[in-house]
Formats: sequence, structure tokens, C-alpha cells
Amino acid sequence: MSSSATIERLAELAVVRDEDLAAETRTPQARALLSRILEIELDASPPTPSRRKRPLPRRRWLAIPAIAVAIAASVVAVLVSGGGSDTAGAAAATLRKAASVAGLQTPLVPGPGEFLYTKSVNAYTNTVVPVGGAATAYTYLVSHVREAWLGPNGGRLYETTSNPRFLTAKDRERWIAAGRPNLTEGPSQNKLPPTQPLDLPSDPEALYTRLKQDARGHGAGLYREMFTLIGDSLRETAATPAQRAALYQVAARIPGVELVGTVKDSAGRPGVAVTMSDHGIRSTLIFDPNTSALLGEEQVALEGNSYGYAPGTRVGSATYLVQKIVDSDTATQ
Amino acid sequence: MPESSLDPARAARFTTLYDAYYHRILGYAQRRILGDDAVDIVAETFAIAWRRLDDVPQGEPALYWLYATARRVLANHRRAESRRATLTSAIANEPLLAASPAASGESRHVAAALAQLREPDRELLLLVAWEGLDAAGVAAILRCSRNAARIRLHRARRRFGQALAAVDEAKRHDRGHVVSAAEPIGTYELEDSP
Repeated sequence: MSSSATIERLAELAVVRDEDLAAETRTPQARALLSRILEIELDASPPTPSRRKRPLPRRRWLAIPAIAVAIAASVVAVLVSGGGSDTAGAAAATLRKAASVAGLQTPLVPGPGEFLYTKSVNAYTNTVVPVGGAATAYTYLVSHVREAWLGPNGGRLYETTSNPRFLTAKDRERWIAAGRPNLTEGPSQNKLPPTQPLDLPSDPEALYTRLKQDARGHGAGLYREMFTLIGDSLRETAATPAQRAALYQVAARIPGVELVGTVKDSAGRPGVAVTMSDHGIRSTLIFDPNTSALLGEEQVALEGNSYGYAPGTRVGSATYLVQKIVDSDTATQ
Repeated sequence: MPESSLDPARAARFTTLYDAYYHRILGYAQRRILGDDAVDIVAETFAIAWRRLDDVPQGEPALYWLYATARRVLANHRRAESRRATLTSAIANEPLLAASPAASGESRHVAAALAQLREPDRELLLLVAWEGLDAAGVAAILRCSRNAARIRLHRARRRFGQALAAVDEAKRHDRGHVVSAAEPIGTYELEDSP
């Protein structure tokens, strides 16, 4: 087969061709988007790559999990007062200790016929863009109880949704203008594909390089993104003790991570919290000092955030109530 | 800040860029991601272009810059999606394309062969086949030399040919899936210099 024939055969797979889209730039949606983008400049000083403006509304999610039940108010008070190199150094020491604890734990990796069961209570934002375009978009926070069974031959996810609420009056007004569409759904149940081993090195140096590489493209938010990736890798994954240890080691090296200290999570469990702030959002991870298991996390808006949220607004959270190996995809014990 | 702060020359340049390439980036996104998410990819890509307009080159390389940006936005989007659906979800393992070649058996063979490839090979081939790019364009988007782009393209074509032969072989024996790689078929020329 010649190279041009190869390309022609592949070209036939395309679901849409550019020439068929040529008129799209003149649609109302495309013109509305252009106007919206040009507006980004209006509230800004001369553009710089590192300065992040309010992102364009997404059709679905803007932020990752947030807690349904508030983490103790004392946590927030400590978080606000935290800062400086002392807390950064203390965070690094605490995270290195967490790494050594994590490395000693029994693996929570499901074998044949087994499932890693995780139950969490969380909340996160959804954004809806009605047909009117970005100027009519509204965002709301919604709570979930989430149960996941991850197994080497597949698994199951069961989620319930409740308590949608708006974070700003403007969002609520736009929802009303859109005709008050229903914001909750019934319980959802989905099959999950076979769980893959977590594709991350367990050598801290290699992991640091890898996460930095994966976080590229986030400009000034590079380290915040690395911190996010670490959180992602600790929750609902089949990470080995060595990988978990490496993740904490990398967290200890990330500039800007600060120690909050001992806190209680929303389930009343004692944990150690570390935090990182970026672009007006403070992200916190809470872990069990005895096992280094992730207990919970939250994202809170800070003063001057670009989303227009009141300072202290919790925009995302999760509390991991149970994580254990079970024998079936219906078992919880 | 008053509306007059909008630099007219800057806005005009961006509007020209937007009008010229909106459909190209929309096509790029729609061929790789299902549903309305493609519009989000386009929106984010052009928002970045607006904020970083001084970095966007003039002429044809502007399109390459947009493709490269859309590529990163898409990768970030997919990573965010996989986070939300757990890292083990189908989304995390989904090939980076939205093609639905249900039309014919022939297309299904080609799609199956494409699915056998590693993502870098697949991406490279589709930049050429779907975006109509040459080695210069591919090199600009993947940030490598033209020569490296040609070599990688050559290898990707060869592996695609092998995968296609393996799929054909599997179908002939009615096994329904690929059990082994076949020998390379045909010959493969390097792409002509642009």
C-alpha cells in the first residue's frame, strides 16, 4: 500500500471534514464565543501568559470533587493563617514522614476475584451553558455519595446525587432565566472497565520528572497542577505502597505546599492537612498520619479569586469514608 | 476598565485569525472527542490564543500554533475527564479519536488497525490524514525537526501497515481479534519534502 493510499484510508475514518465546517464560523454560537473571548481583555491589564482569567464556562465540570459536609471550621481558620517558609519546611518534613509510613503499608491492590471498594461523600461544580451561549451559563455545586468497586476484571460505580446549590446569586438568576431546569438525577450505576496498575514510577526522582512533564502547559500553575495530580493518584487508585510513598515524596518537593497541621475531617477523624493556593483557590489534602491514606480534600475560594466566589466558599470537596479490599462488587465489608 | 481599553489592532488581528481557522480547530476537536466537549476545546484554544496573541506566529504557522494548543487543551481535558470518572475508567483508556466508522467493513478494519497503534503513532498519522498537514506542519505541532517528523511518520505508516495486515489476517481466519503481528506489507516511502 502506498503512503498516499494509507492516508486516504485513514482520512475516510473522519467523522467530519473541515470543508463541511467552513460556514460554522458564521453561526451565532461562534460569534458569541468570539465576543466572549474578546471580553476577557476588558477586566485585565496587558495580557501575560501567566495571568489566568476567568475560564470560559464549560458545559459540564469546572472543578473536581468537593465535600458535602463541611470540614471543621477550625481547619479553615488555621489555613488562612498559614503561610511562609516555616510552614513550607514543616510540610516537607511531614510529607517525607508520610512517605515512609505509606511505603510500609499492606498493598491495597485487588487480586483476582477481589475489588478495591471506596466510599466517599463529595461535592463538585457543574456548569450548564444553555443555547443562549456563555452569557447565560450557570454553575452549581452538587453533592454525591459515591461507591466504587475496582477490580482486575472490571468493576462497578454507584452514585447518588443530592442538594444542588448555587455559589453566586448570578448563577441562580441565570438558572431561573433558563426555566429552572432540574439539577438532580436519580442514582446512577455504571460498569467500570478492568482496573489497570497505576502507570507511575515508584522512584521519587522519576515520579517528580513524570508529574512535572504531565503538568506542563499550566504555565504559572505548574506546581498546583502537580499537587492536583498527586491527589488524583492517591484517590480511588490501585497505587502500590511504593507508589504512594513516592507520591508523598514528590509532594514534599513541590514549592508552595504548606503544612496546616492536625485537623479533624468531616467524619471526625484526625488527620494531617497540607495545602496549596493558586489562582485564588486553596486546595487541601488531609491524610491519616498512621497509614498515610487519603482521608479527604477540599478546594476553597480565596479573596480576589477570578471566579467571583465569596472568600471562603467551598467549591469542591471529598471525604473518603471507606477504602478496603472486598470479595464482590456488591460487598461493602 | 472601560471598553475602550480593547486594543483595536489586536482585536482585529485576533478576529482575522478566528475567522480563518475556527472551523479547522472545530474539525480537529470534533474528530477526536465526542459531543459538545469539542466546542469547549475550541473555546479554550482560542481563549489561550487571545491571551497569548503576541506569541502566535504570522501566516500558516499560526494554524500550527493553534493545533498545538488545541492538542494540549484536549490532553488536559481528557486527563480531567479521567480524573472524574476515576483513573481506571474507560475514558482514560479510550483512543484519542472520535471516529465512528460504522459505515463499512473496510472502515472497521482500518479503525481496528488504527486502534492497535500506540498513541504517538496514531496521533501522527491522523494529523496528516485528517488535518492534511505535511511534515513541516507536523514538526511544528510536535516540536521536532522536519526530518524527525518524516522519520516518525514513516515508521508510523509501517506499523499501521503491519497492524492492518494483522487485522486482515485475523478476520480471514474468523478469529475476530488480532493474535499476532503480521509481516510488513508493501513498501513505504518517506513523504516528499514540503
